[in-house]
Amino acid sequence: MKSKIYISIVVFSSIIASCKPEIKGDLGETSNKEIGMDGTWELNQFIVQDPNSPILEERDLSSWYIKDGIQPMRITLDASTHDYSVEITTGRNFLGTSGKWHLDNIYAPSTLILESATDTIEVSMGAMVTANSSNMRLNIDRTCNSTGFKNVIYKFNFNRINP
Amino acid sequence: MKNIFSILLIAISTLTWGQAAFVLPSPTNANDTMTIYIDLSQTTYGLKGILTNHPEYKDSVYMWTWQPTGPACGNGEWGNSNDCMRMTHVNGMIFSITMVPTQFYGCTPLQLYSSGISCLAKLDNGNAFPDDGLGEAKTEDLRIEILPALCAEKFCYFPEASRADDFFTITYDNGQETDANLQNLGADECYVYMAAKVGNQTYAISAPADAGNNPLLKMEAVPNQPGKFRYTMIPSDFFASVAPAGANIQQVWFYIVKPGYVPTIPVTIKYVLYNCQ
Repeated sequence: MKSKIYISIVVFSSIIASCKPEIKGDLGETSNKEIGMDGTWELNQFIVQDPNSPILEERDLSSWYIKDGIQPMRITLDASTHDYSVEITTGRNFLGTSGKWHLDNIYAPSTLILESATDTIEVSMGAMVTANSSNMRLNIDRTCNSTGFKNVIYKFNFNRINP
Repeated sequence: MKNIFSILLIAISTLTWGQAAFVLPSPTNANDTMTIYIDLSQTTYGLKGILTNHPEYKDSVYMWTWQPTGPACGNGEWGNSNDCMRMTHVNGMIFSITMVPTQFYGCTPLQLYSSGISCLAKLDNGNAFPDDGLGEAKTEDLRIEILPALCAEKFCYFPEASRADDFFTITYDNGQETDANLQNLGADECYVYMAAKVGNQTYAISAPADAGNNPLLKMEAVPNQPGKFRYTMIPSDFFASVAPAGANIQQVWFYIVKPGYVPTIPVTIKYVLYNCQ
């Protein structure tokens, strides 16, 4: 009697499970994120975060970069030549003026690498950027190479200006 | 008076969601005095029952603590706590111990805020009264989260560690000013004398007597925070006009002035910049 109950439960469970709809279609091809980042981006927000603050305090210092009547900082990324350039009139430039750029992984990037004539700057990607993205977030972790101590994080939020 | 204090304490204890252990004040400044309270009536281990049976031992309650670190003066032995860990009997089953946490634990503020405090209360001899059948004369392990009081000093810095080429913000709390001539500054009255220290030399933006009239040195009133003023700069850029080109700025020296007034003997604050070699 007991085994009949078990068999009934198994059969009933199988029927319920079979009601689950089949997955149709595929997830599509993985896209090259360098192509998605191609274009000119204009800064719309600048945040400073203290990684050593117990509450990871952040302050908005956008006013250093965004002033009335002055074009905010822009970065242009060319996906075909891998050239990049930065235009900046006000605020400190932490990205270098020009050079070559690439991603650590073109399909699932976490770091944007900017190579200028004198320096290589690694910038964390705040979020995945695709061809449809209107926003790009770049974070610079200021870490001392010799000690590994990170004293500040600069968060740059850009808007795409030539979709 | 004592009754009023006790009632207040009980009310606060209730407001802190009936926690067996809590600190006051909260939010807490790691470098200032705070008090840990332990309410034995809300604990479950043996100490509560033992003290009920032996109320004459209420002056022999000690704290035993191990986080954020062990206490600088040491807990002592389980059978004989160190005197520095003795708690004060406040009222009923409430006991307290007062300390400056960074000194008491010998820890940094960040350690205190990130780790919180783990402790228990015990009798001087944690093995006392075995015949009561209540187990060791202690409470269970108690955990206290520490809510940081941000920027509680007269001068605060953001970020805490800043390089010469980083954005660096000084926040000044005029409410803590002890110089009577600088108290109650108006929104347009707060200026800061600033100099960069490079090697054995200092390079000031303005002479002290001129600092209070230099618009470059005016601090901004912080919106919605009466009495607080703030100044943000990038030291390597800010001092570029007075320091030698490429100078390695090691410290930022500063003190508060106002138009027409410079302290006769100014107390110069020396902020050491983070030096990444």
